[in-house]
This record gives sequence, structure tokens and C-alpha cells, in this order.
Amino acid sequence: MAGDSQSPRGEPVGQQARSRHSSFAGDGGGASLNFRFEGQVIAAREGQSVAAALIAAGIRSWRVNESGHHKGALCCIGYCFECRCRIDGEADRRACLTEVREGMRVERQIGLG
Amino acid sequence: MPNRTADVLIVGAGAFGLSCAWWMSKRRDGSRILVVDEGEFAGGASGRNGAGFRMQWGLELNIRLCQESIRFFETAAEELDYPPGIGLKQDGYLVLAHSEKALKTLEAAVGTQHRFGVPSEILDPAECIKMVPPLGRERLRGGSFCGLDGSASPFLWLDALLRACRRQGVEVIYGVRARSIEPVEAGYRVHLDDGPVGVAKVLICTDWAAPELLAPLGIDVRTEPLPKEILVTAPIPPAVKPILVSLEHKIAVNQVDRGSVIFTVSRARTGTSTHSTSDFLGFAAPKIVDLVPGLAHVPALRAWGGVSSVTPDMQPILGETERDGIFVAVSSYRGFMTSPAVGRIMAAMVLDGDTNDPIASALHPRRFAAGETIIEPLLNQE
Amino acid sequence: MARSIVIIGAGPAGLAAALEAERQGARVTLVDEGQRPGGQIYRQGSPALGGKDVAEAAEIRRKHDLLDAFCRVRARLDYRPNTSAFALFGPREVHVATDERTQVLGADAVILANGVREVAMPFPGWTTPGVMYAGGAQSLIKGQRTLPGRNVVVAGSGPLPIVVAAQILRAGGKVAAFAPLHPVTAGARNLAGLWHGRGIVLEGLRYLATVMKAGVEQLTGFVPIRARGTERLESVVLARLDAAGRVVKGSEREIACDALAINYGFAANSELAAMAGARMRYQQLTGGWLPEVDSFGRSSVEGIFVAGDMAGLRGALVAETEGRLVGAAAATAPEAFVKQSFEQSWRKELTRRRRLCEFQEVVRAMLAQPRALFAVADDDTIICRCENVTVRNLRFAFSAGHLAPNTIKRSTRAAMGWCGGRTCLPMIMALAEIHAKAAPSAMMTPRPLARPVPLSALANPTKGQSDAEQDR
Repeated sequence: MAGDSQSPRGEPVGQQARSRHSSFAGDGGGASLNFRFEGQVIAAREGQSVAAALIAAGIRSWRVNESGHHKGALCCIGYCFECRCRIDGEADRRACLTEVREGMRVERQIGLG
Repeated sequence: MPNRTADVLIVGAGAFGLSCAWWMSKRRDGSRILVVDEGEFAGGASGRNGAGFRMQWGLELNIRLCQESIRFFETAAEELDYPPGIGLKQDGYLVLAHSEKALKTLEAAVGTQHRFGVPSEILDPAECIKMVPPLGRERLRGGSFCGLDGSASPFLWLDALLRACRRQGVEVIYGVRARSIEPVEAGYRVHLDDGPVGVAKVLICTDWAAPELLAPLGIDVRTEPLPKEILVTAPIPPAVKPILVSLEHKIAVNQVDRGSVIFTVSRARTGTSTHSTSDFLGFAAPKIVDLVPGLAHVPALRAWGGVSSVTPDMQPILGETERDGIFVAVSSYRGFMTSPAVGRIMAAMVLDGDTNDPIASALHPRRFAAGETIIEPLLNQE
Repeated sequence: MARSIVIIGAGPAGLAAALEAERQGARVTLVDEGQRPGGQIYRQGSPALGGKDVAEAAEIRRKHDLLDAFCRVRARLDYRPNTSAFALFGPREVHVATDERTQVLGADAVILANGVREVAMPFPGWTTPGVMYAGGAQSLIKGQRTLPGRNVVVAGSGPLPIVVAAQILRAGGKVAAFAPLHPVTAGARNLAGLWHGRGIVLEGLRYLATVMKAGVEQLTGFVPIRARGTERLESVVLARLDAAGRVVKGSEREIACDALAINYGFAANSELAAMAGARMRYQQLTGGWLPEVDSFGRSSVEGIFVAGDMAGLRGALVAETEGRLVGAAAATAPEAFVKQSFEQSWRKELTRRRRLCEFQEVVRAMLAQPRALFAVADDDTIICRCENVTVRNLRFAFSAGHLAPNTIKRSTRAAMGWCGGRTCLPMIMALAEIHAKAAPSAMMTPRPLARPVPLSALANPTKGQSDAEQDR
């Protein structure tokens, strides 16, 4: 994979197209790392967003809004703001745009944060 | 529509226009009341303001006008039969002073306020910050606070008035402009976008736009547009309990029930555009961060403009003009917060010819020509 | 003197415009919210993740060709990833923000190429976590190498749900059911259109074959009428609707799943164009409120150009072709722009775009969005997710005659929240249209900021103009 990241467009897409190996969740793509969600240790892969890592771990809700409704990912690309949660103590971070990091603390945001 | 008539035509369906219409219709005396507005619901200054109300003024008439209005806001949901409520929030209003001179003015005003039963008090800087933790300490000298002041949603207030007016038989039409007023034998013929209407009395509640309609009749209403701009943040947990106004920053801060913080920012500007100006965000953000550094991390969601009015002495104009049957109510940028009392006063004046109200007699439209000036100490600071 | 051009959006339209404008000697600043170029259709995952691309080979080729071409000129452009354009003031003043800073970019021309966003149909339970846009699910696969769920129901109109269902399967996932609103043959009688888009048709058929081969249950004409679950989606009820939007008795099918990927159309991200004062028109099927443009993407405001789907949904191939046309036009000083001679020298591209647009008629037949879909929501269904505005709240507003987006917003708070109405407005317009029995006559007045920006970033402006300006 290291070679991929050095490709001319700075991206691995060319390599990916030629790759025969699927690397969907659990298939070994990306170095593995651990972060915490509500204190629980969750395995993720380097390069994944927090939202993707949570979804891959089977978690769908990471916010409960002021009316008590559970919230997770909707647009997955940053404009709907549904996936806001608390990351490393900071409220209202978008899980879909935040890359997951080793040791990151993700918490369910309750109410306005 | 040939031969369309009404007893009273109110031009402008903002807080003044609708409140006046409601107070008139409440009498159920059979008067046919028509309200026209060239814009859309809540599209004018009544829907574009900081949403605050306060009885902390330095002049009896302003204190009384707001005391009465606040009492009305408190029971408006029942009074207007509006179950959603008007978003009333009475967590107080903190007027901040960042200089000794400003603090002296506040102290004098609090003295006046106490004479009229306003439970206001002077707070030192530490007390201000305790009340509003995100406030900046630098230069802060103190403030005056009154716990009965607060805010309501202008949109819900207007919606409540609109529905109550219609239930009581008032016709309210949006998107129709009053182009001109023509005196006729039995009153006036007002030329609307969709045809003329014959009326006995006209009440102009278009604020800064009033002169345009009245000047051709030789009526001199001295008011000018006062554009302001507003910035609103994402909803956050409660951080600013009372409404803040900083005399130095010329910013009012209101965290509404929903959690958003609304910053109303004044600066010397002219015109009647309700669009944000391109340099507004760059102008306002540093001042806001200076005033409430604890909110610097909060995202701004939206900015817009609102055009209020200002008169030569910064006080409202309420009364009958030199033309019999033509009345005017100009807010001088406090239309939302004074609208309940103004509605009552103007309804009595227009329908009964009652001109004995002490507030209205001080605010009559001819005071400028007569050389009368009213000085509100707090406004001259802002 | 070289013209300075600010381009917003690095999808196919923006990239092609950047390439062409640069080729013509313009100084180009390319502003994009993404971390990497490509936009939605050519989304690139993190280099760290690797993994295979589950798109059709032809699409991958197009993506690589465009991105490779971009990489070759990238050093000569002022390319700004992770940057949002949050305001556009007339005529050509673009306000951009990163997390920490803001900057005002002045330019001779601005090209808006910021595409479209997805539109859902509201139904009871559609706010349950696990229900997401089909394109959102696709972005998880493309950008995150992550499946949207273990067992996914895909539903919607147009070609996107087919692609997403196939890509889930190719990525090793399971599709519990596939519910296209219209038969995939909806536009099949348009032979000329099909011919002009034969390459794309072929790609579509291959995706369809993936879905068929996997034996996925196809429920054509079914729409979700209820999602069950609180903290997570547990099942979805799909059913057929009659013309009035009532559920056809006995057609209900409850399907267990942990994700539901839906798409019922697109809305143009046209806020910036409207903010700059460009004349707008309404066309529901191709994105709602769209800026009026001529054949070279010129809007009614001088120096403001539009390219790609934001000028009307027509897909990536049109976007790329149009990007080149618009890039060339924007790189030409207005006084030197002679439309006739431009049409001469760009005849080939203009013809190509026209033909591809004919193919879009085929696609549009699959995109039709019957208003009956909006009858599925009940009174308690939330429409504005940011401000918790329900159908009941909206109907209360409608009852006082608040039927224009501005007045609905004021009387309900809908569209006042974090997303600025990007999610709810198309649905609100549909509900208001049904109530008023008339198409919307005005769009919501667009206000800055098109994206939330921290007060600290607004108070921390980078002085001076864009690099492109400074170099002059």
C-alpha cells in the first residue's frame, strides 16, 4: 500500500484499479488502529472516517438530539450535519469528515453538546 | 375590484401594523379593517431584529411603553389564543459598560428606573462574568441588569397576531403595495397594486418607508432607514442567559431558546437593503470575539440584514398627522418590543380619537417642527 | 494580462474547467471541500486504505484520465482542498474558509461547479440511524472502503440506486432488497437518446447484471413507508402506492436490514449563484432552483459562470465536456468573447454535449418524482432534521398561508439549523406545492453562510487576495 500513496496523482486509485485484493472492512487495507467510542475500544483502519469506522463496528447512532432522537450518518459527505458527535472532548464534530486516529475519544453527543 | 372600501386601512403588516389591527378588531365595533403589506410575512424589520425587549430605559415614557408591552408578551399566548406560544424568555437583560462614562449613564438610568418600579440593579464586572461566563473581562466596567427583560420570537409573535387578526375579521394581504393616497370627500382613496380602496382613515405603519407615502400629501414625517446586520450561530448549550447589549461594541447578543446565539450589530451605514454586505462578517466577527471570547469556537450559520427606522430624537412617532384621518406609527428601531402598547394606544386614537394618552401626546408627529426634543440618555450612548 | 479565475468544486466539471482555463493561460484557484480531488462521482479514498475500485472499468478510466491530467497541472494551480466557499458577493468576491481561517478571493471570473446533493422522500422512521442517502452509502464504499451495513435495502429513483446496489455487492456486501421506483426500462423507448448514451447504458446494464446475478429481490415500484428501530434500523416496510400516495392494500413487505440506502432525486447546490444575484429558474427534475445560463455557462451576472450538474442534472460526462467549454469562456475577457466564433471553434464539444443531453432524457424518465411520494409521511414525520420540524408543524404554517420557503422558514424554523435547509427544502417545497396546488414561485432567499464557519475563523482573515491575484 505504501507504493500506492506515492502514485503520480498522489492517490492510489490507479493501483486500486489494478489490485485484485478487496480491502473492505476486515480485509486488511490500511494499518489497523484503535479508538474509543463511549469508552469501548474499537478497531479501525488508518484513513477511515470516524463515521465509517463506527458503521463498520456495527454502531449506527452517535448522537441523541434535544428531542431524544438518535442520529447517525445521512449524507456521509459533510453537508447534512447529522453525524455530529463529540470527538476528543469537542462537540459538534462531523464524524463523516473526521479521520479516525489512534487513541481518539469519540463520545455520543447528548442534546446540544 | 370596484368600490372596495374599509373603515381603516393599515399599511404595513409588521409588529406595529398587526398589533394595531388586533387591538382595533378586539373592540368588535364592526369596523372593517384592512391591512396591506408590499412584502411577505415577517419580511420587514419586525422579522429582522434581535428579538429582545427591555424596560431598562432612562426616560419615563420608554420605561412605561415597555413595561406595558412586556406585561402583554407574558400572557400573549393566551390573549391571542396561540398554543405554540411566542417563544417568551425572561432571563433578563444585561446592559454592559466598557467605560466609566457609560457606567455613570447606566447608574443614572437605574435611578430613574427605580422610580417607576423597574427591578434593575448595577452589577460589577465579576458579577457580569459570573452571569455570562463567555464575556471578555478586558475594559469591562460593569452593567445594569433587570430580570424581567428578555426576548420572544418575532416570527411567532407576528404569526400569533396575524392569525388572531384574521379570526377577528381583519383582512391581511401580503404582496400588495400602497402606491399613493388621494384625499376624497369622505376620506381617502388609497391606490393599491390591485386597485383603489376607499377608506375613512389610514394608519401608516411602514416605518422608514412612511415619508415616501406621506410626502406627496405635504405631510412631513421625519424618519430615516437604519440598516443593521445580524449574525446567528449554530445552537449551543445555554451560555448567554440574559440578553446582552454592549454600548461600546454596538452589539446586542441574544441566545434564543433553541440555542442559537443572535448577534445584532450596528454600524454607520445607509440604505434599505436586507442583504448582508460583503464586509459584514469580517467587520462583526472580531468585535463579537472581543465581546464574548468564550464563544469564539462557535460556528456562524447565517447572516442577514434588517432595516429599521430612526427619527431625529431617536424616539417613536405616534399620532395623527396634520391631515385629519391620516395616522402614523414609526418605531425608531424598537417596533417589536413596543408593539403591544403601541397597538393599544393607536387603536384608541384611530377609532375613538383618544389623544389623551400621555405617551402618545409626547410622541406626536409634529414635535420636530415645534422644536420639541425628547432625550433618552441610554439611546444616545448606543 | 492573465485572467484570474476562481473555480468552486473539484468534480468533473470543476476539474475540466480548471484544466481548460489553465491551458488558456488563466491563473486558476480551485476551491474544494473535499480532501482529494474528484468530487462525488470520482471520489478517491484515503491512500492509506487502498482497496479495489468497484466502479465499472470505463468509469474508472474516465476518472483516472481526468485526475492524471489534473495532477500534471496541479503545481501550476492554486488548488485548495478542505476549503469551503461560504459566500459569494456580487460580482466576483468569493469568501472561503478552512477550519481556522477565512479569506476573500477576488477574481475576473468565478466558475461555480459545486454540483448537486441528494433528495430523500420522507416517511415515518426515515430519521432512524441506518437510513442514509444512496450516494452517501456509495461514498462509504468509494471513499472509506466501508460497507454501509451488513444487510442493506436500496431504494429510489433514477440510475444511482442500481449502481449503489451493484457496488455494495461487488464490495462483498449483501443487498436484502432492491426497490427501484421506476422500471429500469422507463426510458427505453427513446432510441436516439439510448444510442447517444450507449456507453453509459452498457455500464448501467453491467451494474444491473451484478444485481440480477446475485439474486437480489427486486421490488419495482415499491417505496419505503416505514423504518423500524430506535437506536438502529431493524427493518423497513416497503409498499406500492396508488396515484394519491395511499399504500396499495396488501402490498406491504417488511424486510429486515441494518441499513437503508435511498435516493429520490437531486437538488442543485445553487445557493452561491443565487447569493451573487444570478437569475434563477425552477425545474424540479433536474435539481430545483437552477441558475439561468447560456451555452457557455454564463449566468445573468457578468463574470459568474456555472458548469456541470449545478446548472441542471445531466451527469458526469456532460459535466466534464461542459467544464471545458465554460473554462474556455471564463478564460476569455468579456470584451474578447464573440459567441459565434466560440461556437465555431467549440463545435465538437457543443455537439457532444447536446447528444449526451439527449441521453439524459432517457435517464430523466427514471427520475420522475411523483408528488404522491410525499403523502407517505404522517403528521409526526420529521422533515427538518436540524430543527425537528414535523409535517404537523408545516401544515400549521401552511394553514396561515405561509407557503413560500421564506415564510415557512420564519414560521417554523425549518431550514434555520446546521445544514441551512440543504436536506429539508426540496421536501418542504414538495409538501407546500401539494398544499397550494402550485409550483413554488420563489426560492428561499440565500444568505451567507453557505457553510457554518467558526466565529474565530471569521475573525481571522488572511489578508490579500488569492495567489492568482498576487501573481499578477
